[in-house]
Amino acid sequence: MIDFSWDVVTENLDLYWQGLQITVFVVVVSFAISTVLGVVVALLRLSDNPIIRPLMAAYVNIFRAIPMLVFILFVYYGLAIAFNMRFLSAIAAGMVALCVQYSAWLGEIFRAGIQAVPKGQREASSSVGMTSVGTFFSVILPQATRIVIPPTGNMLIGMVKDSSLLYIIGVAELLRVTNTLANRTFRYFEVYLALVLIYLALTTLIYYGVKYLERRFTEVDVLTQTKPLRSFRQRRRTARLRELQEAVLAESAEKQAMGHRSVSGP
Amino acid sequence: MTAEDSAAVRSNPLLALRAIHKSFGSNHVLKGIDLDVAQGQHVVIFGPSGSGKSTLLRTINLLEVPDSGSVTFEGVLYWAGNGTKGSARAKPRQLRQRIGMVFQQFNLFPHLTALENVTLALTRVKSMSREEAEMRAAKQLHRVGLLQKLGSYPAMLSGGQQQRVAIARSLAMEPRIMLFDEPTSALDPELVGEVLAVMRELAHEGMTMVVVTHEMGFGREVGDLNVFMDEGVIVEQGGRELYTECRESRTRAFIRAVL
Repeated sequence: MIDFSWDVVTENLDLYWQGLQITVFVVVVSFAISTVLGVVVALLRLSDNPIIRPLMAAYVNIFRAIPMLVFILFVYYGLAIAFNMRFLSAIAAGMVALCVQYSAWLGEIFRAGIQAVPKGQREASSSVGMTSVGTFFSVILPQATRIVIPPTGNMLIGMVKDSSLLYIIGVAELLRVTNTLANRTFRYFEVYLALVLIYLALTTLIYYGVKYLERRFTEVDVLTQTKPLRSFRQRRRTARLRELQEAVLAESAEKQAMGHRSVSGP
Repeated sequence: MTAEDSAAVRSNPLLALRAIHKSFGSNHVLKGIDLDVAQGQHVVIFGPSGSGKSTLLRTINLLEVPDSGSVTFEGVLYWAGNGTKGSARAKPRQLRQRIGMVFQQFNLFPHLTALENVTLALTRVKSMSREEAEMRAAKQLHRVGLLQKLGSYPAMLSGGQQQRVAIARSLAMEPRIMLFDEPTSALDPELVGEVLAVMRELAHEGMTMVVVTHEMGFGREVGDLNVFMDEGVIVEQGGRELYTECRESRTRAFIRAVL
C-alpha cells in the first residue's frame, strides 16, 4: 500500500497559485490576440485580392503544420536567442508562438463560419440597400459568431493545454512549478494529480462558459414565451412590443372610423 | 388615368431593360431581353425552369449584373454593360433602396425577430430613429397580418408567415416597385393562399410589381402584362387574353401543361 502524503500539495498551494496565474495570463492574452488576428486572417483569406489570398492560405497551412512544441523551441531558441532578440523573453516568445499558430487555426474556423452563412442572407441585405460593411456587421457576423462558438471553445481548451508546453523554455507556468515541486519532494503522484485536477477545473470552466454563450445566442420570443422571462431586458422588450401593438391597432381603428380602408399604402 | 397620362407612361416607363444579355460560363441565360414596366403595372413572368425568369428579375435590381444591355429606372441609367464605370451610371445600392425584392427562400435574418428584420434597413439605410423605425415596421407587419408575431424569430414562424415578414421588410422601405421571385414555390400548398392574398391586396393598392411565378391563376387575375419566357428570350407577351389566345405554340403548350 502506497503511503500518500497530501500535505505536499496543501502546503504548496501558493506555488500552484503562482503557476495558475501565469498560465491564465498567457492563455487570456494569447487567445485574445489570436482571436483578433484570426478574424483578420479569415477576412484576408476571403478577399478578392490575388496576392493576399494565397499568401494567407500559405500562412495557415505552414503554421498549422508545425508541431507546437517544435515551434515554441524554434521561436525561443531559434529566433529570440540565436538572433539576440532581447525583447523576446521566454514568456513573450512562448506567447508569440501560441498566437501565430492559434490565429492560423482560428482563421480557418472563422472563415468557415462566415462562409456557412447562406448566400441569400447577403442578397436579402443588399436588396434593402444595406452597404457591404453594414451587411457584414449586422447580418453575417452575428450568424457566423453563433456558428463558431463551439469550435472556438475547443480551441480555447486546446490553448490551455498547449500553454503547458511553455515549460520547456522555462516559463514558470503550472507545469513548470509542479515539476519543480515534484523534483524537490519526490511526491510525484500527489503533486501531478493536483495539477491534473487544476487543468480539469480550467477546462470544465470553459465548457460551461461555452454552454452559456450558446444559450445566450438562442432566441426567445418574449411575446409568446410561457416560462417566466429571465431578464429585465426581456421584460422591458415585452412591454415595448405590447405598446407598439396597441399603437398600431389604435391608429388603424382611427383610420377606419374616418372611413379609410384598414389597409393603406406606405 | 387619361389617355395623355397613359401615353406619358408608355414613352417614359418606370423601369426599362434594353438588350440584356447574361451568361454563366458557357451557359447563355438571357439572350437580349427588352422589358418596360410602367408605374402601377403588374408584370407576371412565367415559363419553364431554366428559361431565365429569375435571372431576369435579379438583373432588375442588379443582384445579377448583365454582361451587356442597359438598366434604366426612373429615367436614371444604373447599368450600361461592363464598359461604363464610375460617374457614367448611378450606384446599384441607390437602385436597391427604391426596389423591393421578395425571394423564393424568404431569406429572413434568422438572428433577428420579425420586427427587427423590418427595422434593420430602416435604421441603417434610412437612418430613422429606433422608435420611428419600430412604429413603421409594426404597421407594415400589421398590414400583412402579423401584428401578433412582432417578437417571433423566423424559426418560430410558418413558411407563409416568414414570406409575409419578408414582404413587410421590403414594403417598409417604401419601394417604387416590388420584385417577387417565385414567392410561393417553397411553401406548403396550404400556405400559398395567405401569401397570394397579401400580393393581391398590394396589386389592388396600385403597387408596381414584377412577379416570377408558377401560379398561373394569380397571373390571370392581376397580370396587366404577362410575359412568357423560354430559353433566355421573351417568346410572347400580352394582357390577360394571353392565357386563352396566345399565338406561339410554345406558349400554348406550356399554359396547357401548367393549368
